[in-house]
Amino acid sequence: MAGIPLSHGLLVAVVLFALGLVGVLARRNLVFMLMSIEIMLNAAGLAFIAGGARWAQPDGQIMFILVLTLAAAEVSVGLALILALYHRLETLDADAADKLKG
Amino acid sequence: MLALLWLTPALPLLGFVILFATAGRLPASAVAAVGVGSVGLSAVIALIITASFLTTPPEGDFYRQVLWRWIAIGSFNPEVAFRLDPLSLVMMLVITFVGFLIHLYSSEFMAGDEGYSRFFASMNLFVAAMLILVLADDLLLLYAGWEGVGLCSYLLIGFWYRDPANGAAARKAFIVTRIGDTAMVVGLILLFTRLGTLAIPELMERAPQAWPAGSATATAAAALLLGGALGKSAQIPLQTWLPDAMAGPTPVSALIHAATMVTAGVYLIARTHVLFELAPAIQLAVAAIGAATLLLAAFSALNQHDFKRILAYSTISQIGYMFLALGAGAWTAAIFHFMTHAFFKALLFLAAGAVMMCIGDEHDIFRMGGLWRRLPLAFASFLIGAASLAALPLVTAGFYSKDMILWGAWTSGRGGPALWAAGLIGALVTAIYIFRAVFVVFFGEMQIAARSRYGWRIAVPLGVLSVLALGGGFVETPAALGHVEAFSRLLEAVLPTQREVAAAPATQATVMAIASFAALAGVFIAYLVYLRRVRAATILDTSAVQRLHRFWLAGWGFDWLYDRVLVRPFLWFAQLNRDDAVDAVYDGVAFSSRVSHAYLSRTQTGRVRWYAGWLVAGSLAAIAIAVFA
Amino acid sequence: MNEASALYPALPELILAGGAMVLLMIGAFGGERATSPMLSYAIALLVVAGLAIAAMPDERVALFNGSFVVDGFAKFLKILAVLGSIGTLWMSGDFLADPDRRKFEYSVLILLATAGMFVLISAGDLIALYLGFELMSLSLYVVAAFDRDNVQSTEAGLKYFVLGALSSGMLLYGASLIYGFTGTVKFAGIAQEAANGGIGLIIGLVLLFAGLCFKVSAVPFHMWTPDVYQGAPTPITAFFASAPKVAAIAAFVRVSFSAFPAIAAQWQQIIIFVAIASMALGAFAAIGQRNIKRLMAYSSIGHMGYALIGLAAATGEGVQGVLVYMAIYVAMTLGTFACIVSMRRNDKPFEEITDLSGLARTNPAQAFVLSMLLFSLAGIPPLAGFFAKFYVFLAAVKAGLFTLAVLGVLASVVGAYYYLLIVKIMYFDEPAPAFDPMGNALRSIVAVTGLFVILFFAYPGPLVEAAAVAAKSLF
Repeated sequence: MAGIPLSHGLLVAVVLFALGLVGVLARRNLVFMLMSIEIMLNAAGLAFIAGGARWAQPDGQIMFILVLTLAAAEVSVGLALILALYHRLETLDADAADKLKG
Repeated sequence: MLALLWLTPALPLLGFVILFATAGRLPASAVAAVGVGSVGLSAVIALIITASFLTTPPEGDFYRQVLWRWIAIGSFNPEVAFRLDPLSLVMMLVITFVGFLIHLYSSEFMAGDEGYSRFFASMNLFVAAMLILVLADDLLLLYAGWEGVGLCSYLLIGFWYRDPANGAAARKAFIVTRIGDTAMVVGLILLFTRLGTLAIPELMERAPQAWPAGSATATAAAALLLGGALGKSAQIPLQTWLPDAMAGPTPVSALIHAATMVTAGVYLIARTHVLFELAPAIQLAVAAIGAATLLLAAFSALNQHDFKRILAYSTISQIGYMFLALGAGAWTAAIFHFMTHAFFKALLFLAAGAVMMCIGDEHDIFRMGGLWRRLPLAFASFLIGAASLAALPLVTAGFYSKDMILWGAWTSGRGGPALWAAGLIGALVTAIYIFRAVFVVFFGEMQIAARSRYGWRIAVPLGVLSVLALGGGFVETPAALGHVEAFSRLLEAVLPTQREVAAAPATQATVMAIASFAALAGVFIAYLVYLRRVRAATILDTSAVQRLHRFWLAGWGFDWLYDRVLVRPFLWFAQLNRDDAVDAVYDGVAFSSRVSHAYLSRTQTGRVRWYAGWLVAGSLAAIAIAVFA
Repeated sequence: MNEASALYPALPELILAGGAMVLLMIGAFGGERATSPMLSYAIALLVVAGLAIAAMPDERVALFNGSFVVDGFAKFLKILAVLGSIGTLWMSGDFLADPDRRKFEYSVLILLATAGMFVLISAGDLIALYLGFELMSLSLYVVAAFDRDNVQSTEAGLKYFVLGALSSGMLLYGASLIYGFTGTVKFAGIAQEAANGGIGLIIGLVLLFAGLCFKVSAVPFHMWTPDVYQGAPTPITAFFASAPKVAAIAAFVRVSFSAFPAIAAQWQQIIIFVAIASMALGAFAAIGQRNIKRLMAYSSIGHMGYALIGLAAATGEGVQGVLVYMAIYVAMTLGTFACIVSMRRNDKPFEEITDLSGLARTNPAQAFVLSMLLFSLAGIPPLAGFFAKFYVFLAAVKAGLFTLAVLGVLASVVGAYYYLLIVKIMYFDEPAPAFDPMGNALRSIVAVTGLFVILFFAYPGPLVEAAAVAAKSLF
């Protein structure tokens, strides 16, 4: 356990977070965007775990469990919204939803 | 009982709120009930408070009622507080009582006007603002009332707004008084920055400690406050708005432009008399301005054809007397004259209004004549008012107050006899011009059909004011005539009594006799010239006199002068300067705003990924700022 | 018994959460018929919660090992938030009366969002902060898309969701960095460690701020605001503009002062940047707008910029300024939106500014009050909006931030243009057809907020002093 220093855990988290961010920016498919956001949340969760291990506290793990549940709730809301938009526009292209602008 | 004080302004304010919120949807009877009733109740409360104040005077002869703290910013924490002392007591009584009579009169006079509700809304607001002005414990609150009455004056002068001339008169009144108000604001800021407070009692306490008599700052502060007073009270050089203000309905002229608002300047100077005593030069200026104004306006009044303009110039002239008294240090006399003037001038206006109402709104006195048989009540009350204004000896209120002013001028020590002489000449001319009006309007040949058609709501105010215009002066009589001192005893606690000058009662009696003679002589001259048309009166038709007549008719050409010296050059410069650099700056602002709008609007593409990009970019920028800051 | 009474400080949250569950049950069994009574129940619950908050002591009480803090600051802002929610529900009657939209979930979602705001306002550590943040956000995503048959509403909901989830991901990642570098999630603990947190902590702080900035729609995290405001149903837009802004500003202020006083110099720079950008964008981007809801979106971006000036001052007076600002802002916003909600002809909503033309002739009373509200939004004395700006500018000047104050004044000059333009359209343009008569609910909101805005100048004392007391509890 003590073998993995904080910096390594955080490094993996940074990479994950960046991957998620790039995914949100680069993908046009709403479902993929949603998945990328989930990756970002997991990156944050990983960082919490790493921090909890570094400081030998339960707080990080508590936070991770909280993140998991909230991420699940978020996905359910997100999928419902994507579905609603799909019914209206018949596409999953995020760029198609651009009626509101200016 | 004194705790009811806040109700006196609150009731008219409530009346205003009701009338404003219903916006003319109430029936006329309800409007009258609210409009007149609120001021009537306020007058009743004022009477109760007065009774309580006189029978059991509070400690220190004043009562302070703090309503709430307005705002607290560092050392600036003015309170909304009222201060009842003998000075504000007199003012409050006159305002509510005369105000109530004029409201009652208006309920009949304005009947059938489409703006009936609007009229009473503005009048109620005016009474509330005026009461706030005189009751304020703090110059800031006083200033709020000051602006409030100015607003109501503007609204009511332009009451019949469909005629552009009325709108122009309203604007003129607003703009001219604004010049004075600006000076006053600067004065307030000066006082606050130098003395650290705007509460009047503290100011009056700190000023003599901070400034020696005659110091530059005290002089500047007094001069700036005087500027405000000159504008509000229509004194030279800001007097030109008042004659035009007669465009408003007659009760408005009676209440605002005769009895109450225009005397706000007198009140302000009396209230801050400590400052003026620290600035002898300014106090002398007050007296000089008063003397000049009273003469100038009296001669103008002598030449007017318009019934209301005669009274307007007369008001300017009488306020000149009050300024003369203030400048001479006869503080009590000024307030005494304010009170009697409120009675007789309101009476004159209301009587004139009743006359004009009965002859189809004719204003030119030379088209009237012989009306005394047809309109006996209006005649009797106008005659009483005129007698009081002309200060006919012994029986009128105006006699006692004017006598007190003249005696104050005589004994003031600073240019006393000169000021006294000005006042004396003024008294003579006053008697001439007002009895000119009496003889031309009510005697001679009938020239116009008149039908007496006023009811009790007009008759009662005329009657009550007639009694006051005659009997209101017996609260203060000179040594030779009973020596009653009730009024000055009352005001002793607020206003310093004049230095007793060792003058024999015989001197005082002589001075008084001369003034009485002047008044009687004036009446007699008016009788000879305007009723008997004696041969000597033909001199009036010579061309030189005619030219003088036209000059005085136009109020000594002040309007002409201001038009040439101020208005036209300003308009010319504005025209010349149409497309100047300053304008270009604002055009530039508008242009760059449009351009930046176009760019910003383009950033809002509607695409969610682009927005996400901004989120990321913004975070990176924020990190950069935080790390390198 | 003892444990139950120990929960007393969390009573308002419990009332809302429990009440929302009960309403959900009632709705599940009552169906569409329950929609309209449920609106009343929800309002009643919010009122009870508000009273419970008002009855709380001003002293600081910490629950759940310091995660949940009740103090004067929380009290003040919770009351504001609950007023915003009550106002929203109060003006939603007409919107929910439409058969297609008679969904009882509406009231439940607003209750849950309000409960989330309460938690956010009272958060004493990062866990409670994130919990409140998400509870509020998830409810908001759904209500934004509530008008399911309307493509704009759906688009607005989706955009709000994607960006909101992204920003909450950033907030969470920031929180994880803060935890990683300080070893604690408690604000008080972070405050002790912050001085030696290094660059990692600063990055965490910035990401945390980014999430909060998103919720207060501060530039450059504002992009969702105009689109969502325009697309969402109007009562919901009113909600977005009022209560969640209060909660987010509350969290912003609390985090800044109770967790990061040691690195105030750093976050002050960020806030100054964000405040200036928000004020400028709020002023310039609004100028050419035709849709009044979109215009109000830019307006609220600008207003958040002004409110943040108080935070940038980083003093007790600054916080007091923020609180006064938010209180007045909520009143002005609710009043203005009640007027916008009432822009209906034959039961169809109209949203263009030109639909207001000649309102002074078709409905003079409404035109007058709306003008007062707009003047107040523009910050013209002596209306309430002037005092709001005055207190934050005063705090900025006292903190030595002269440039910020001057820029704020300049931006408000530009901003005044578009408010006055609406007044001009209402008073001088040819009248458009009259709107449907205003319902009593809307009328009462317009009247109350209008009176508040007009009469505030006469007696500002109570609000300003309450804000001072509330601000003191943070220091």
